[in-house]
Amino acid sequence: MKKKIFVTVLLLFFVASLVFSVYYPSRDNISNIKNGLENKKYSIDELEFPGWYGEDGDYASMEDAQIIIKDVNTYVSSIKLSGNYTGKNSHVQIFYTTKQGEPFTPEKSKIVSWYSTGSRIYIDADIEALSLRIDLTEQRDDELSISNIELNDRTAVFSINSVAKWCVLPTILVGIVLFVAFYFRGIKPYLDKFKQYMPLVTNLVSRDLKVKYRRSVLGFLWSILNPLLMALVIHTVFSRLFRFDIQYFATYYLVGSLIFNFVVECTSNALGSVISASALIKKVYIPKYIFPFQKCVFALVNMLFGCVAVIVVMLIQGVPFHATMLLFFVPMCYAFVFAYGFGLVLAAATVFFRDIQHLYSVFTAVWMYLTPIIYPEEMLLSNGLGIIMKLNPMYYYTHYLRSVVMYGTLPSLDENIMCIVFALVMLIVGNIVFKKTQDKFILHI
Amino acid sequence: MENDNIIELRNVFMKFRMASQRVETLKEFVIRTLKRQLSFEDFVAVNDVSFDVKRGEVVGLIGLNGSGKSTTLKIISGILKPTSGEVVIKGKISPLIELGAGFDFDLTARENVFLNGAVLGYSKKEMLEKMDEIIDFSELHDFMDTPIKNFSSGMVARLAFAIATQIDPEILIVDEILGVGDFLFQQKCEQRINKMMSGGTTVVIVSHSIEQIERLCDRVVWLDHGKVVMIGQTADVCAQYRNMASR
Repeated sequence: MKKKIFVTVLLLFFVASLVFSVYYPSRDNISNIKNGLENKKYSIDELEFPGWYGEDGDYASMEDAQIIIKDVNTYVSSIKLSGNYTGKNSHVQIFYTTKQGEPFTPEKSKIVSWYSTGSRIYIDADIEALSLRIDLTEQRDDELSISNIELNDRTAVFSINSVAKWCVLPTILVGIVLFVAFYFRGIKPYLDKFKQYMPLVTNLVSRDLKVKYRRSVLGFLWSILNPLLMALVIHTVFSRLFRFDIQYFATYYLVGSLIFNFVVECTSNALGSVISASALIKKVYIPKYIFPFQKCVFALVNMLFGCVAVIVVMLIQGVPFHATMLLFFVPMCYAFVFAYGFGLVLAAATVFFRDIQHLYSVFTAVWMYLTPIIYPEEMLLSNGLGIIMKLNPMYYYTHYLRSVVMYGTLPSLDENIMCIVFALVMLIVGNIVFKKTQDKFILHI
Repeated sequence: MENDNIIELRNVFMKFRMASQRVETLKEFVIRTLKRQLSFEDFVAVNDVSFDVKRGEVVGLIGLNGSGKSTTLKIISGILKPTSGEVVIKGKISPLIELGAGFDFDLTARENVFLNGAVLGYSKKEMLEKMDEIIDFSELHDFMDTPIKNFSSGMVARLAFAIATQIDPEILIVDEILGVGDFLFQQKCEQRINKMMSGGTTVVIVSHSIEQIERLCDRVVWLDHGKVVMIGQTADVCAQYRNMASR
């Protein structure tokens, strides 16, 4: 009976994600914008309004995406396109005219192509232009998402977000893996054992929750209040002292820190989990991975409280809500798997070397400053630290969550693959390390 | 031929690596490795032990202190993994290695029943079904919602024993714990074990009390310095053991 429900839910999930992935990109509203732009005249000064399109949170595929800016009538030294873009062999073509009534021709155009993922395209224009046309047509077989276009540092916020056709593919893949795992005989004993010890996990988690909240008057409210107050502090500090060009800074910070703190909490709790369970491990047989796993589940519960805080801040700041918000659990799942894998490594290592605890807290501090949480992502790129960003799994998870929650964009297939690869590699490494060493734990605790 | 062994130990060795001075931190490890001061000594706690336990049998382990009885029990219950050799267990184990394992002293007795049940791999629902029996057996009717940090050690022991025996394990592992509680409760425990035995539960007991072993066990394994000295019927082995002790 339970099996049937499980299978039905899974199948429904497949169908839903398929429909979602097919339906979403087909909402082609780009022509509306084009017309809207061509019919109106904009000076650069007038460009400073939030979104020619996208105010209502609409999306479109990038085919034939053109942005025409008339009455530029000035010297354009450079054009910056910033936002989230991914592309393979994509390019942007800038057309410009110098005389009234002159058509856009390839002779008066500049092409910038790139071959990577990033968040800023810098076009060295050096032209005297009357009007501009920015063509995003040339990119192929991948998608481009640009949320910000700057002309000579005067910002015009575009919300042109393309949708990756295969964005939902990973969720489907995960579903298939679950499906196969459920039926595959070989791993059934492991799953059975896992299922047998699930009550222990829930018991330990509820114990941790009780211990955490028993002695405070506000109880569970603290989990919501804490990030809220933190966001308030950060907002105050950064809107007065250090100013970054980020819209909805408090939300930007809170969303990033939500998932980052989750991973830190998972790993640093998992780190000591085996040692603190020594009394149990010495007396009863329990699969030892249960302890780091339980700590990760505990952190997950705490993060869900934190989600409430995010929604509150979004309401206060008036951040528009997008349908993509419902996918918030995808990056959380990725981060969970990653954190659990990492937690396994740390838990095993700490049994043998206690001082890893101290080393790790230093490590997380460094990690936090290398992850764009309290500063914009472009800052790493423009300082030549892009490579660190690309090698940092936390960058992908924070970026993913911000995309779906704040910007209403769906991360590309590439991004999803990066998230999955980091998570799976960590999980496999963690399992190998843990499995190899777990029989010796008892001699060291 | 049908094999009704529920526990099989084949040439089991357990070696402990005793670092002459224990290295607990990375810093120490690096320093000692650089100074070449890292040395280890092997200590063999269980040396080539093989024996079988049939389904429904009650087996006692006897021997002097340090003979490897407890280590053997820990190997059977899966807490320790042997260095070499094979261990086959074909049933659900309830270990009573130390009473109160898996208790959280800040939680109430009732919560601890669920926690301890979960530690042994039983769901909340299963424990709920057994709750009444556990309360009856432990005689803690009035204290079930008291945090067990306020319990006396006898009360904790009663609760632990009640949980471990009421969940109807296929194998019960008992290590030196029948000495707790008052005289009446000890009797009750023995009755309970007798009842479980007649119900087909396999029991492995470690005890220093030869009388207790003689009363309860079908067969006895005598260990000395990690090696099996003798395996056989209770009367034979106990007689020999007493002989040795009196010499």
